Amino acid sequence: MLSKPPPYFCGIDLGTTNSTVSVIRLESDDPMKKLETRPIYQRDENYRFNKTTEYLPSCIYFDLDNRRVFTGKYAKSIYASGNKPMQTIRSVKTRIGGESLIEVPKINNIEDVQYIDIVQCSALFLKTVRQSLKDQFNQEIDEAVITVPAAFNTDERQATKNAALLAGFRKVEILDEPTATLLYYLNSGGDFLLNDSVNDGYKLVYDIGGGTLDVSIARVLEDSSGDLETDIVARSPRMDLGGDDFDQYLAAYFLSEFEKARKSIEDRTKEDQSQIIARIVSQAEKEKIEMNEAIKQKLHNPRRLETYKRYVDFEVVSGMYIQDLTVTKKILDEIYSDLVSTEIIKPVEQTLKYAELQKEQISEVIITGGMSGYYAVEESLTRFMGANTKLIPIDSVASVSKGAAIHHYNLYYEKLKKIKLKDRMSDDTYIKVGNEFKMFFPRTTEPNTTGTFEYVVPEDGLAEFSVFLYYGINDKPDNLTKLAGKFFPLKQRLKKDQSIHIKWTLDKDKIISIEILELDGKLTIQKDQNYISDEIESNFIQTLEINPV
Amino acid sequence: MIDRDLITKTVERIREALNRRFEKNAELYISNQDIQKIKNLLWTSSFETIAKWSQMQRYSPEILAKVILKNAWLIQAVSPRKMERLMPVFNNCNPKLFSEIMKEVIENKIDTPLNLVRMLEPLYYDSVEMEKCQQILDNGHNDIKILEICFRRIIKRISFAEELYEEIKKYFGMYPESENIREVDVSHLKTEQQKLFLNTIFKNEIIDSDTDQWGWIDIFNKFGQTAFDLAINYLSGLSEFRNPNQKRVVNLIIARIVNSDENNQLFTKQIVELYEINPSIRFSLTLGLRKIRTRQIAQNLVKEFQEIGIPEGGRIQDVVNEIETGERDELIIQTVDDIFDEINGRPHRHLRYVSRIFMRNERFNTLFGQLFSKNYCNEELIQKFVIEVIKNDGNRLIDIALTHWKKEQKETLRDRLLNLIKEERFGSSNVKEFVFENDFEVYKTIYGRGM
Repeated sequence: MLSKPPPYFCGIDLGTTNSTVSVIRLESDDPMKKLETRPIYQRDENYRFNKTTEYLPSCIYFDLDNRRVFTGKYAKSIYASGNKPMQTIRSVKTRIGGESLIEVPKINNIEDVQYIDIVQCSALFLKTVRQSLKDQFNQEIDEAVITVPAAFNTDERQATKNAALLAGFRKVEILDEPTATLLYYLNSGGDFLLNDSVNDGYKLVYDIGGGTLDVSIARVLEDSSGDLETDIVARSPRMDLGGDDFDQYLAAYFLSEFEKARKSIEDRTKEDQSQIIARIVSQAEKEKIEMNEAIKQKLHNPRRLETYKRYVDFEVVSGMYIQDLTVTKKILDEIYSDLVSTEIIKPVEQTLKYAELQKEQISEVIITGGMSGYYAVEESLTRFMGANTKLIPIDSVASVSKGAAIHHYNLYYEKLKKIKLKDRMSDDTYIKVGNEFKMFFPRTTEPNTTGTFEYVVPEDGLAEFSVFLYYGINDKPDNLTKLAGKFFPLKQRLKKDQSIHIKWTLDKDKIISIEILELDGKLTIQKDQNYISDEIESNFIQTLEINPV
Repeated sequence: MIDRDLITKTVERIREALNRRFEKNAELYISNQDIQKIKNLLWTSSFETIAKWSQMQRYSPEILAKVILKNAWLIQAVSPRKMERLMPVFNNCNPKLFSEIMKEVIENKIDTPLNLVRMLEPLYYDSVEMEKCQQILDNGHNDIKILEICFRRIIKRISFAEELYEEIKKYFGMYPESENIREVDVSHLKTEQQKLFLNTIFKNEIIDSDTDQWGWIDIFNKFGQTAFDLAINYLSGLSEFRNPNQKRVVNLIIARIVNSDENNQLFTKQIVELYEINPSIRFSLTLGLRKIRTRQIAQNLVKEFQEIGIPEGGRIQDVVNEIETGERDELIIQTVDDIFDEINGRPHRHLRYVSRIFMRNERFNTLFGQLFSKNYCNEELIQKFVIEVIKNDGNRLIDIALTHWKKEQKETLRDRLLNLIKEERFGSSNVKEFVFENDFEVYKTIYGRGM
């Protein structure tokens, strides 16, 4: 990726619920000893400036009147209060890569709104992280490896990369979260059942975070140098399911119980409802975490587990409370039954089907992500896979960012173990000819390849010659995504069925160059669509002060 | 026992509230699954469903517009009428946001169907930053409608008479052929500034001008009674009437009532007084009566003039007789030579007038065809007339004209037809074929998307 090593190797886990950052400082004899998760400076619940918290809650509070924005704990507390529903946001990761916008009014002037997209929101988290590292190391941090769910598509990856560029990083690499987890596990003395001849080395990686669930089946074999050769044989389709859903189910229980005792909140204004729901969901998240800790402590003691009770009390809306609401494990199981019985297992079944494997052929399940330690997830997976399959939990808080930092280090040095993923393009490239999309070159095309596409003019009367490329994994047009293209001016008329030869080159960086011999036209299309410096510098978020000291 | 149905329903309510929590009236948050659905609806041309989503406020028009335009390359060739079904989404967008969303389309970075681009451009230029509009006006644009929009917007923000006058003069000079750009609305000026503006154009562009400045005359007429009074006062104060420019002022007065359907007594009184005050104006004034659309108004005026006294004999008497009997009305056109006789040596405006009367002629189809086939001594004039006739019913007549043109293929007429097509942007397949075969550069200008 790069020639001159940076002073810090930086890995960022940009999570739906929390983000973390880990770094390896310079080259050393034992880089793992230099690997550490760093605090992310932010304002806490009480507006105190906090320099010790090692995670950044993925919440934003906009104060556009004062050109300020808060990320992290303080923003989360404002979100949880429900008092500023129009100015707070969370769970942006599940929307990245799409077209969503957030309409943020100024607090004191409701007419003057600002539209902010999801890339900008993500950039605010990354900017917080970058600024925080700069303050700690007294040095600009320009490079980073940022992780994304394995099932993120090209748009989602590109959007994440652009968020990082917007945040001020100059060189960014995107890494799959499960890969980062494995990398950390491998280098921190993880005990893999490698090269096991019975099971052919098939591992299932179950990654469940705050909002996304990824399942991959990989064939992992150790080579002679101790690196892992990893072939991803199947991946689950993208699934937006995670801790947020557990919060929402528990919140639904709280709300329905509240409404049984009081009037439905649906009679209230939308803003009021938003406020109430934000409070209930935030409280549910808190209760979920605390109940999980209590339940896990009692898992080996069925009698104590059966008698476990938690009484929930909190203010729903001013002067109106949920009081003494009893929650037991049995009640929790019932609340989560839809999620547990089908939703969280469905992608495992699908992935096994894609890989044409039986669950018995999986030797180990590596379970990771923010929700991997949740009792209901563990129970459910164990029940499905059977008691003989080994469940390996990997540190869910910082393993991903640590793995990302290791990956960053590995780009420059050879001291740590690596994962050699089979490098292949994920999509075919198509060209639009009239109303049809034709294969330009397949995903199996190796870098440094040249070819010629024969474009047959589809109709008389073309006023311009358009070359637009798209990518995707089949030729169903609505499954494709725009890459780039250009209208070429015509010097002379083209006739139907006339052939135009488009010479293309895919270079080592996957940049496509096009030359149209008959039209004397040239075009370069970058496979990635990074923001350019103008877009970055003039972006609205650069005018905002983040977590002012 | 937990009521699981209730939990499921409540989860849905919570999710909806969380999704909508940033919105008061609309929804800017869109799921990736719904983006995929919209892509499918675009590919299958199911535009009504997308518009329905907008009507139902399931999503805001802005976010739908954003998704539609980002994926506009999926839209297949459809008729403009079908494409129109998408327009409610765009029409309801917040202008600032819409102009941002449209940027990639305008810069030709997305393969968007040209008929959709053409529909969206007016909306875009109506909302784009003013600097962009200024650039377009200063540098020109292929599409006259865009120029018109930008011109209107620029004019609208000027609130001082002098500046407004200079600005309009500048663009009239830059676009002398464009009728659209002459549609100026100055109603936003404060009363005092309006008066100043009116006096400026009356002096500089009407009294002191060497030629008929129709753009300015149109603006002048828009001031209605105030302009009328100004013209009347000016003429009333003249001791003699020799300057041809003063005749132009008489025409202004006539124009005020030419298009009036009401028998306005105030006009009548003022005109009769003028007729009485200045005998040298009488001639022009009486001739002008011929143009009055409502015969009753003209007849009333003649009656009033007669009471004061109309000179016996001569051209004035002929005109008065025509008006009294109503026999002046229609031209009798039996042959192409009749047309030639009527338009020869007359100003261009008369060509327009005759072309309209010609449209109502019983032998129109036959005579229109003959205009293309005969060799006339003044072909230029006849060809100009053909163009004026087509303008009366462009979309229909251009196709007929091209069919006739094919028989003789006169080069000069070809160029005139090309210019007309360029101006009016007709889009039938006949027209496209004609332009494609005859001038590929014009074809690219009209049907391509060069900026």
